[in-house]
Amino acid sequence: MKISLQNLGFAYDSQPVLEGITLELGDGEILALVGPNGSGKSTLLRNIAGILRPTRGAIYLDFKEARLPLARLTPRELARLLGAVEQERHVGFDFTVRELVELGRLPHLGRLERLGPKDYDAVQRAMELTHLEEFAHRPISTLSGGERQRAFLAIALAQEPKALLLDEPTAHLDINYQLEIMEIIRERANAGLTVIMALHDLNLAAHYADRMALLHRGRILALGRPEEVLTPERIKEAFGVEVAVARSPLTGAPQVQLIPPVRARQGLPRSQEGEDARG
Amino acid sequence: MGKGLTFAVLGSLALASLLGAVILGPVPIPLGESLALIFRPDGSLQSAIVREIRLPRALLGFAVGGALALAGAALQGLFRNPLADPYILGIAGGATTGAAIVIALGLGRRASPVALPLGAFLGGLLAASLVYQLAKTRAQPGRSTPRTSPFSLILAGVALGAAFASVTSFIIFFTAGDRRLSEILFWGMGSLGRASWPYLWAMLPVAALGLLLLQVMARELNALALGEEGAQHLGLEPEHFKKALLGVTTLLTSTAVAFAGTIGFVGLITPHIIRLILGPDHRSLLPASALAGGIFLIWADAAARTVMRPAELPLGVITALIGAPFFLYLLRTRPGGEMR
Repeated sequence: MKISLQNLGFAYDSQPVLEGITLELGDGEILALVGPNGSGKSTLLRNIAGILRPTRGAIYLDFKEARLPLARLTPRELARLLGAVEQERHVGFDFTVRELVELGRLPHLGRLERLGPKDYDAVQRAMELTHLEEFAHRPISTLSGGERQRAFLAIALAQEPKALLLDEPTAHLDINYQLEIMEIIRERANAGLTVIMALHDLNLAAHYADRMALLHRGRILALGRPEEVLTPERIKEAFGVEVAVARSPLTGAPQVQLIPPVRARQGLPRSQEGEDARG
Repeated sequence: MGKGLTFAVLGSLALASLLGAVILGPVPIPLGESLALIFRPDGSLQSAIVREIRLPRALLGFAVGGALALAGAALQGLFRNPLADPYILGIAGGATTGAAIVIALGLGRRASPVALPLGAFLGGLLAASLVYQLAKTRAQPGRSTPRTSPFSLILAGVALGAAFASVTSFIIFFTAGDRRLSEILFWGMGSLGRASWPYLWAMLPVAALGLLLLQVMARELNALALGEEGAQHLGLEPEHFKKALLGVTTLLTSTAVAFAGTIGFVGLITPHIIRLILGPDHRSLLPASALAGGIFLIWADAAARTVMRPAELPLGVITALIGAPFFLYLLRTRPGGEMR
């Protein structure tokens, strides 16, 4: 599914949060939204997820040759096209993983309709894709942070959506769990799912995103491939810190290296910088 | 315990409790005779006791307990908080004020069987709708609908409850030394002593309708466990859903209060226990809570009638006496209890 944002703007009580956001995203593409806290990443995701209504501009979903204005879709219709996991989800009661993943079928079911074979297939598949089969009957409270995040991802995948919206899917996770989550997402994107996710880890984003959008004060400061977006100048403009950007010797992805301010003042020992560092 | 077994046990217990409440009493009437008299009254004293006193009272207890437990289970789900109870929206305060006004006007039990429940019902309804209106924030440009956060609902419920309590105190102050005073106070502590068939014809359909409507919403209530935003991602419209659910629970609670006064703890504890046995899935939690709440209230009423015979204790005294320690026990033995 293609997602197009046209000159999107959003304001809370005439306090602008997003302005002039225009971007197009194709099938199977991963877009990482990066930028400092308060730059509008979550707000943008919530606009695309239909939780917030844009105060300006429009969002279109292109699906099966039809261009659907997002504002015209009912919440249920939207939930069949978009799966989303918001930041810091907290489950109110101790459901089992399986019970939660079955909730992902809600947008496909009538009020009194029971889950059918098709629904059980989708649930089973979502559990397999997120490697949760053995956790099916475990209460969610007994899972680790990474496993829980996978369960939330499984709920969204059980919706059989055409696109995924994820707000910090790797927040508070150890690196092994971060990679696990990102691998699942990459795999789904390769299978055709369009993904937009907010990430605060620039290097993780550079490894997994096809394109990145660097947000700053509600505007897109840079949009493009990771190596186009992650330059020391842009990062300085958005985050106000000095960094060096190197290339990963193994993957070629740009990797941002922090320079503690005290070192920056002393001047960098040039000799120790790699050839392709652009600091 | 499996779901099927739990429902079989609860169903049999409910039936046994209803029958037990009919058979037992100052004048025991054996099961066979009781059943015969229910279906074929013979005009005897026994027949009147069974048909006009014990059966309506048992059924009213069952329906009121069921309605309160049902409302409690639904509201705990809505607020994602196991400490929510049916009176969280100020219904108890509003209903007590309504009842107090009716009694103070001299239209109490003796004068009319309709005025008192009607006053309590309207008071409860008024309180709940005021709370809902107060908690509603104004529409925001970005939001499709005005929002009512659970937090502001609870705060408004507390504040309004206090306001109604002060009105009730004011009325009590002016009826001091009067027989009406004890009537107000006794009403506030709950009783099934006014049970009668006309009451049942109002209470039973409301309880059944409430169960039906909430059962239809059960799966969405499950989705709400993910939080409002999480539920929205699954296509739910939380504001509509909240309004519908608050409407049904308000109707259930106000009706129960109208016929039996304010009875505490049934709506708080019952869903708790059932959740421990069956898990949090509202599709089984709601009907099982209804059954368990009904059973509990029948026996609490039996205790209220017998503990200090021939005097009858207020029902609220018994439910609180059992409920409060049990509640504390749950709080202390279940660390991280908010997850359960």
